Amino acid sequence: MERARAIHTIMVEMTTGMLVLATLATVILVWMSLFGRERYPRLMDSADAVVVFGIAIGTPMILLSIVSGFRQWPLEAFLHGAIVQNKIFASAMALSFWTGLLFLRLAAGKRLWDQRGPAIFALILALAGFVFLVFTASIGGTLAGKPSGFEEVIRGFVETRQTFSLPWAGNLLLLLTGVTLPFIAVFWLRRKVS
Amino acid sequence: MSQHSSRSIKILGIIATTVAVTAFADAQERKNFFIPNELNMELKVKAAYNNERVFFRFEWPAEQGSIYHDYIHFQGGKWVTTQGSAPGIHPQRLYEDRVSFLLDDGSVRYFDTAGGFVTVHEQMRFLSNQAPAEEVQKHPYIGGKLKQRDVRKYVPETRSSADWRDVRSTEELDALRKAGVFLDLWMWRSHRGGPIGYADDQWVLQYRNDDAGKAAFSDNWDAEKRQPRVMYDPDRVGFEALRWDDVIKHKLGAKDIYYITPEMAKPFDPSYKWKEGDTVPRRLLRVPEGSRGDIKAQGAWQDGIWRVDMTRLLDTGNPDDKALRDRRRYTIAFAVHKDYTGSRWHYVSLPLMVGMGVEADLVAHNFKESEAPWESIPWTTVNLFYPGQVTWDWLVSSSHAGAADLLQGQSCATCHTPELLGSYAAQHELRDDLNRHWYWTLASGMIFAGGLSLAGVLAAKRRV
Repeated sequence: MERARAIHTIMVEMTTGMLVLATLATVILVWMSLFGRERYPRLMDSADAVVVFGIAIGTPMILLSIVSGFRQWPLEAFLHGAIVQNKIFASAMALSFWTGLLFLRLAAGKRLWDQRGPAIFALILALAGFVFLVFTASIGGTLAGKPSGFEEVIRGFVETRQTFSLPWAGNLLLLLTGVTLPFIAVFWLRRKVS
Repeated sequence: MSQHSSRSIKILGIIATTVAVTAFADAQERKNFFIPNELNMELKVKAAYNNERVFFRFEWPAEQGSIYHDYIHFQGGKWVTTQGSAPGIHPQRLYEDRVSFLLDDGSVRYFDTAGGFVTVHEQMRFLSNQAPAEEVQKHPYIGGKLKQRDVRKYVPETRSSADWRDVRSTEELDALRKAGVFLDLWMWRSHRGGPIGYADDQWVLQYRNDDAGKAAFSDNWDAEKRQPRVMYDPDRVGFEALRWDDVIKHKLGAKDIYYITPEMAKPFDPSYKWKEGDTVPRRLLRVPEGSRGDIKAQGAWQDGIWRVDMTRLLDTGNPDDKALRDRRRYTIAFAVHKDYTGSRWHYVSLPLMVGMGVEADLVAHNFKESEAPWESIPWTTVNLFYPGQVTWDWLVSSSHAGAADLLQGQSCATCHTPELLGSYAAQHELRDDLNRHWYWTLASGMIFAGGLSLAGVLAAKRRV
């Protein structure tokens, strides 16, 4: 178990490092996209490289962190612990948002940062992924017996020691929004193109 | 209708059906299910001893101190009994308050780290998976020898597996008892014993056993004749029966007659012209005898606070008691029943060390006089929590992340605070529902994030 904990810790540290870098680079890119890139043309290229590198390594690392985390306890224990369930939720959300950013960057290429709309959207994904990553790390501290002060801040919004779940209406709304958003995007763009 | 639209409608149909099915599953009734509004409370304790006796003093808040318990009343021309133990709050609010504790000298494994949880096992009385009475009655030992209909507290050493059915042989149980592998259980009840100055004395080994001797109460219900065995003697108390209205509306106070003792009673007279609402207590209180009567107690409720004193000889010499000695430490775990609840609907503490004149979580102060100098002894505040349906078998199973640590001797307190344990216990009871909601939230959250990202990718692909 100690070995599994050590491996998980290493995975988490690497994930955090990579994705914090990616977040910072995304902020820089969006800032430059909004307020001008002329003064630092090389910074744009470097920041984009950092984003690609950070999310290309960091996103699969989230998955590896989750897998290594699961090896610490028997599977049944994860279904009976509120804190650990919240950690799984936060890490799954982080994984989803960072995967989204990864595909967005792959699909759009460097030109992603050329237009305000897509750039801001990329920033939203990065910040959402970053916030959930912070939640995950903070809950992890509690599980390890070393809670951070930040945990108290989070508990101001969500009680992390109780299994977090949304009411049925909330779940349904999220589901429907998630399912319909791509269709809306396609129809909206088709109309715009035509 | 476009292909996209019909597909979307299909997806929506699947989602709506799943939500409806899951919502219906939520509404299914659970057996023995009740979670109190308050999950934590505080109990204040003092302990002292002299050369002869040990003394405990307790105080805890109780909005309504309940002194009522089990009555027989005349209704519709016949005698009916009130309901006994019930899940959660007693439906007629006729259930006594209690304070109790388990005491050990280090003989019962894991009691010093997990407290009373070591006595709680799957299929016990009033758990949702309670063993059926018919099955318990068929069990050769629990049903056959002990003549019981339900599974109650026992220590793990008395079973050869995690199954309550696997009781060790009588010889092995005797050997355990002689080796002191049992827990002493002291229980003050506000009705059954409280009014006559006694607490109950029991012990937990293969079952929650009564100490040898006679209890401080007996059953006043003649099941064969379906009537009380005794009634009030008007020559002694001035009336034949209480009024049901006074009982059910809790109009009687501690100074009134709300209980019955042999001194107040005479044999029941069925020829008396009983009136609708005539009521007699179902428990006939009497001075206990033998080891069962070892613990003397006084309790009073005033201004929202119960104060209870208990005292017993340091060493009763009885084999069903734990002897206490000067300069030694013992493990103790407290419980309080309040708000008209019985059975498992109590608040419990994690185990504490009580030191007889030595440093411990709760120090019993040594004194020379006959009365404990309570004013000079400080209170120790103990945090109690609702334990829900958490069993020892679950705690040491793979479902509990701390099972290995617990079995290696780590205390529950290493990972948990009493404040949180009440919440965890309630969540444990709701686990199936919580997990169902959690799965849905996890899935819908990921679908939302995925959908949002996909929409962004599609949009970006066309725009840039």
